[in-house]
Amino acid sequence: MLNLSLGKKGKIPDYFKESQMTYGIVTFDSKVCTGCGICVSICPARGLRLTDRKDDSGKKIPLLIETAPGISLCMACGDCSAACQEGAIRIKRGFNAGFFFRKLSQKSDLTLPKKY
Amino acid sequence: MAKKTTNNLSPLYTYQEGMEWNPVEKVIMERRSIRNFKKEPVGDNLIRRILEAGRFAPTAGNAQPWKFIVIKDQALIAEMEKATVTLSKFLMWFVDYNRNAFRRIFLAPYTKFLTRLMPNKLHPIPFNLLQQIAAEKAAAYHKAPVMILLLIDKRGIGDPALDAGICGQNMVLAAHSLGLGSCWIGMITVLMMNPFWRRKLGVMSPYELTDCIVLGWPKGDYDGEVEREVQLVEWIDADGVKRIERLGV
Ligand SMILES: Cc1cc2nc3c(=O)[nH]c(=O)nc-3n(C[C@H](O)[C@H](O)[C@H](O)COP(=O)(O)O)c2cc1C
Ligand code: SF4
Ligand code: SF4
Repeated sequence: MLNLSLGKKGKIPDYFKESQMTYGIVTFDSKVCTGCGICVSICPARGLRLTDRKDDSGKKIPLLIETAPGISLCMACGDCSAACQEGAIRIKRGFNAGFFFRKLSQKSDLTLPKKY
Repeated sequence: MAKKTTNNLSPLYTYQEGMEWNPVEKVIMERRSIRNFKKEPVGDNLIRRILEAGRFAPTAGNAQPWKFIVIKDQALIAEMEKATVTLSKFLMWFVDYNRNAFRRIFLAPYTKFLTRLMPNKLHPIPFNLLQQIAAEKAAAYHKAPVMILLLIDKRGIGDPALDAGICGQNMVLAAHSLGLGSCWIGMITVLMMNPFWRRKLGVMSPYELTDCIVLGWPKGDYDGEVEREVQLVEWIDADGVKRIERLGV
């Protein structure tokens, strides 16, 4: 299991530097997303916004807001994916802060509850 | 007391490998924090029923170190929301180093020092939420029709906050199983920094308040399973044989 060296244990990361923080990443399947905006309205971090799509479908698609380069507000709670009627959302990466706050006994890969 | 008439209720179900979730497990897995409520009020007896789930939570030494305050007054909740925004603005002014270059250089070291002193309060997630509340982009209490303040009696046994957490989650699961939505709100800590609000809500020694629960009928269907981090679990088997297992894959 992961252990932190002494220098890293004591250091508080810069919350707005990509190299020191891992924020959640959510992906939206543009094939099934209808642009309804439910996910945007329920995100507890207020970390999503609707944007125009690149194609000419006229529909919108959500996007993670960046508060600094490579930094989102997402804590990977999954509330958006549970709320989406279309099943268009996947949580791709979990949240993990660096150094002092680094989680030690879990992986950044995420899975659904498993029926053992 | 009347003689026991029923059989013991557990086990409700017999375990078979790979079986579907039973109703208790289903509520645990599909409960999501709900932050969008209908205006519709929640009946007093339903609230009492949920409080009962809390009253029967296990506690260290059966201490039951808590006090419940139920708030239904919408004007009061709105006032609390406003006060939390004001306080958040005030607090963020001192610690938010992401506003401009000057703050990034001169404020960051000071904020990091404070974070060392109060790592739980200034953890990046509440830090960001506080920032969003200060910017009036996120709500603190989500305009909920009911709020249950879960006060902790500091004189309890061991760690009374742990007892309160168990009690609260009992209530959350009961609420959820009856179709209500709920959300834990730790942000009430901000309000509790102000003695005026402590007095106004009756949070006086030996009680303290760090978390509350908001309840209401959900506006929309937000429940469902979510993905969570794979855990590395250490097992110590017979004869001290150790192994590490990935849980959830
Ligand atoms: C002690 C505690 C305090 C919390 N405080 C807040 C809060 O202030 N605001 C909020 O929107 N959610 C709050 N939450 C809810 C968490 O954000 C939520 O449980 C987490 O993101 C997981 O999502 P889920 O509950 O939908 O599974 C709190 C949860 C707990 C357990
Ligand atoms: S809730 Fe689902 S369908 Fe609606 S905008 Fe979000 S991703 Fe698209
Ligand atoms: S996982 Fe949670 S924090 Fe991240 S975008 Fe979805 S709702 Fe927002």
